[in-house]
Amino acid sequence: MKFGVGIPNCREGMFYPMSFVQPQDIVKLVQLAERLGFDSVWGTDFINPSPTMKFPEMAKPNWYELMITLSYLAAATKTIKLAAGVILLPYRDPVILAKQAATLDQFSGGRFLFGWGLGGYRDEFLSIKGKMQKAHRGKMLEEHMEALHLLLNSKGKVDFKGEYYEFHDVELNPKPIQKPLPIFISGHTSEAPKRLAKWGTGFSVSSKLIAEFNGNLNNAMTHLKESIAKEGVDPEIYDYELSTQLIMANNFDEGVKKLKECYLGKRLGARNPIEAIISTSLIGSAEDIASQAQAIKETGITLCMATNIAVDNFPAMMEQVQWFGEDIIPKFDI
Amino acid sequence: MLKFGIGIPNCREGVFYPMSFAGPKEITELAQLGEQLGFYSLWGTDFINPVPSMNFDETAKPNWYELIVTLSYLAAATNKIKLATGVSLLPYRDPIILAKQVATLDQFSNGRFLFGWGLGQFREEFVAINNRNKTIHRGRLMNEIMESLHLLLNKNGKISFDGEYIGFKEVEIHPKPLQEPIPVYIGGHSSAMGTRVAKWATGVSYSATILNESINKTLMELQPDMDKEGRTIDDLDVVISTYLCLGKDLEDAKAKFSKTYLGQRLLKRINLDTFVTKSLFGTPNQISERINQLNQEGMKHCVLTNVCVDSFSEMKEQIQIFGEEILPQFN
Repeated sequence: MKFGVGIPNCREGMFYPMSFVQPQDIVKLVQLAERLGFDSVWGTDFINPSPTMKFPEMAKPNWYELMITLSYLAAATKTIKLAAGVILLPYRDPVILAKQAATLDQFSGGRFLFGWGLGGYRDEFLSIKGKMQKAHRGKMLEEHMEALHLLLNSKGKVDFKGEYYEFHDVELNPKPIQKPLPIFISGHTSEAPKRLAKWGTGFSVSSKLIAEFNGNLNNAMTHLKESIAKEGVDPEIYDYELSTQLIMANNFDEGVKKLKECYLGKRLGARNPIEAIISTSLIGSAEDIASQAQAIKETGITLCMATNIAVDNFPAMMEQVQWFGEDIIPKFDI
Repeated sequence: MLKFGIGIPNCREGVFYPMSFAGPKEITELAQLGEQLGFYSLWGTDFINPVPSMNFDETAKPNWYELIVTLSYLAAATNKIKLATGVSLLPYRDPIILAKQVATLDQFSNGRFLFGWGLGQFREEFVAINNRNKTIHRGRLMNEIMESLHLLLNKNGKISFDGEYIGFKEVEIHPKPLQEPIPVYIGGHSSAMGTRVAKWATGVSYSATILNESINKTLMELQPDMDKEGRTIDDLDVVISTYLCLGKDLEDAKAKFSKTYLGQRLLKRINLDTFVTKSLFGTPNQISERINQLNQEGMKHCVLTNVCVDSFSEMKEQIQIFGEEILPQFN
């Protein structure tokens, strides 16, 4: 099993308090993760704070645009993979996005991982797409995925004519270095396995999917692989990415206390019972976490992500990543 | 002090250089060389998709690297050189995503971004990637995007915009660019240029070979519009974009140029002698003289947009000679 860490490029307000990081902090975090043997770093895509995100009225979270952040990080690192986890497709133009993705993969020497998503907040979408108040984002997503797939993989000029996107005689050159470019699909609906079979190389297992199996990851994975097999593909050829919270402490109880007290715990706790959060977290002493990670590995997860860390300042984040890299990752080296 | 810039070949294959001219490694090398030699800025261009009106060989596949992603990579590979879009084709982009991307680039590069705005020369390219918007008036779309970008990048608080083409509501870019204001360059010779520059730009850019009058005279045309905004042309950075062709003498430079891919493309529509007089051709001394002349006419920022060569190693060689023998004369 490989490990990844979430970078706080667009996490202020969502998972961390305001003024959590500066650009150079993000660079330091990624360079540390590279030294410690993490497989990948994962950035998120938010553009504009909207009311349903439920921030305090005057809050101004600093969000750094994902593709530009990853490209900067590419030049500041050598081996670690750089993931868009996920990029919100309905916000973007497919031709420009495909061009940016191919450029990033080329400049990074083939280290880009491309996660595709819808976006959690319709009001954010409406605020930036004022002319598209009636848009069906699910249909946009579907068309966008197909358009990106064509642009990134087809040789020769490509045409596309959908309800939302249309282009004619377009060809990307150069293509991404990686063939195929790793594409991560997410979602908990019956569409997700279909999309994976058509376009993906990996699947991001969401907390909603796990919740449908009462928090039992093993059952969720069994069901997921069965539905993927029904699409006529071998489920074993894909990467399975799991997003977790990391809370390293002296012991389990101290970990729970840390989680409850930090900004992340309060944000997540407002929507979910604390037990549910704990059940999808890597929490406690190094021993606790190693055995939790082992259990995750046994369900078939191939990439375990410390997406959010239960800390309220950046030095504490670096400390957690350092512990994790030194105490946990070596146990999973083959 | 006169500033010098280099055009980076991120989207120039086919248009100015032969195919397979430079990849990511070469582009990075050039950026670092430019920085070492004391150049002030790097200028990338924005092309997305080849179209027939660009007049390449039908089967040609130019490698074009997207501009802002390229500049962000170069930002981390350098320390002080400025990184410019020369220009970003605004009608191709969503203003909010673009504003977010450039604010991020300015933050990560520690305030080294220069933002050039343009329309795009090829309507056909615009239509290829925006096939639903065939009837769009690109000039009006561009005005709306310029105004949107200006508001998003400079104004505090939530911004709303309701135009003919662009609409958004209660959007706020955070963080803003590090530079206040972010340098904005507008180029060209359209009748709308004066108003646009006066409202939104901190600099202008002209192509040396297209200028019909002296730079100062051309700048004076902007003054009435600048007056309306309470500004003066002296506040503007003045970029002159030009061609570099070093040779043993003028004849040698001309002969070299005529043989290059670029020369062969340009000679179909230009007069060689006029072109050479207006560009930077010849020996280092001849080129220094021409730069002096442009400087006296009002140039503040001299950009070697294209070097008249067919290989990356020749390009590096010309930039190296320029940086060692010409640039120090203006420090």
